[in-house]
Amino acid sequence: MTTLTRREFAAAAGASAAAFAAPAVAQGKGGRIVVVGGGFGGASAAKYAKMFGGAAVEVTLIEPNKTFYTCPFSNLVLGGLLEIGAIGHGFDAMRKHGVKVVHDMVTGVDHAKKTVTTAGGASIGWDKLILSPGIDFQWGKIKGYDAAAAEKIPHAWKAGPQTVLLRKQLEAMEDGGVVVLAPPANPFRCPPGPYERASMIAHYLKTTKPKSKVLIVDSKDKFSKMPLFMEGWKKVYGPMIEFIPQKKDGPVTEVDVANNTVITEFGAKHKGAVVNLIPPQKAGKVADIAGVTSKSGWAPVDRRTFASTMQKDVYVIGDASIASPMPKSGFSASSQGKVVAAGAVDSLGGKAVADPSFANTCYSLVAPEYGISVAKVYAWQGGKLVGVKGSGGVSPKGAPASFRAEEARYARGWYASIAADIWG
Amino acid sequence: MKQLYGPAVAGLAAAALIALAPAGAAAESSGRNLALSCFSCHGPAGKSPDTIPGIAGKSAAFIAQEMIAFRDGKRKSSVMMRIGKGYTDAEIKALAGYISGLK
Repeated sequence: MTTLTRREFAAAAGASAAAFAAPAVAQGKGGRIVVVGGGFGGASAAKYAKMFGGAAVEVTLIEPNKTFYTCPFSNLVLGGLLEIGAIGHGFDAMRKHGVKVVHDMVTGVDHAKKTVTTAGGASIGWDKLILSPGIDFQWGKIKGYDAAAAEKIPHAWKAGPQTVLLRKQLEAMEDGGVVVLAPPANPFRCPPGPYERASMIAHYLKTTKPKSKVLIVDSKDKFSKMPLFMEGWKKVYGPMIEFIPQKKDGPVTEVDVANNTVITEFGAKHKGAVVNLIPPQKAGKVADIAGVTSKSGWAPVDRRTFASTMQKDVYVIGDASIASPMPKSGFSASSQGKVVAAGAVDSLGGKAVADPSFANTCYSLVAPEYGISVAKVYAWQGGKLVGVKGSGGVSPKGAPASFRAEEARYARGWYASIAADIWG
Repeated sequence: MKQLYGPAVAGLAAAALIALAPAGAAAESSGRNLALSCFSCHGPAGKSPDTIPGIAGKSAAFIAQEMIAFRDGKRKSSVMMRIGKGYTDAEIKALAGYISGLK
């Protein structure tokens, strides 16, 4: 297969630069927009806010990491199809577009003074604050699983060092080993992600350690694109992937780190040569710091504008927000980031904020040449954010190999395009 | 990005919009909001860097015609048939107008 290299990403970045020759809305009143989080939501918001706002709008992006590693396509790193560098994105292009990029950690938000403070001691003023903090883990919700345990039993649900750790464990595993993969109950980041992961790990095992298997110990009974994954697994991997639903063993409640074992509510113990536990999640810490999360752990928003329902002039986008019916996906976050940036700029300029339109397309690879997808278009109708009736849905079941191959090719095209759209 | 959308589109989306802003501005942001999602697959400003066909440099009429063909099942595709069903004729014209106006 064609793998995406750093060089190809650089080329993609160059291709997009021309689009930003002139701002779309340069006239009128401006102001200061601060965006926190350089992932799919935040980086999209920062780039498009600058593009729409032009010189009148000062845009600052605060992100602790100099390189952002994407969760999308991190499963391809686990499967050995890509190197970790291929899913890392820097912020040089963002600076070239005129966004001020600050690599620091937000430690405080003062809503009265409209400032954010950082670990590095900076105080940055804003007129509109866009938060895209992603997720954090509910450590301790699964007994025995905390940040220290994750160094032995990786979650790999934030890409980067955790992805590399899990990949190394897979490489070190002997043929005949069992990889235990334990996905969480809903809601969580990237609903089809754990199942693409099972596929990509199975692909690696099939091609290098064919006596091994993947055991999915799930904390729910059904998952995204389930019939399509099941069809694909049967076809490509036969009995190599086994799925245990929650109704059989109960949800995963405990982990025995010393014995590489997950334990379920009904007392079942599943030991793996490698264990990948994806713990329950909540909005990223910055959302808590900013006081925009409800008891649910996620951030409630007005789904027309993505303005926080808890703080004025603050928007929350991406996985951290309660954006239902939109899924917690990178595509959703980017779609929200662009529309919210436009709304924030229009609002600063004293213009009416237009109704939103969003979309989501999530590709998953069952195998390198076997892709499947789910899509939906979202609109503001009757005072609600709804999935447009009749739009979207999943790839057809029983489709020919050529259809699956085209979707695999488009999955790679999607990654290159969205990366260029956001970080290019 | 100097002209955001063609005159043919100006009146179309306005009817559906709130009366707070001048009709032209409202229609402009409507076409823009509709079109922004397209770039996630078709690349920034519709310029695709990889396997998905680009949509930059196409006329509004062509984009609208193709979108309607996908939506109505007259043109087959793996995913655009599903995406196309999310938009009305007026919305398709508004987003096509915005995209064709990008540089």
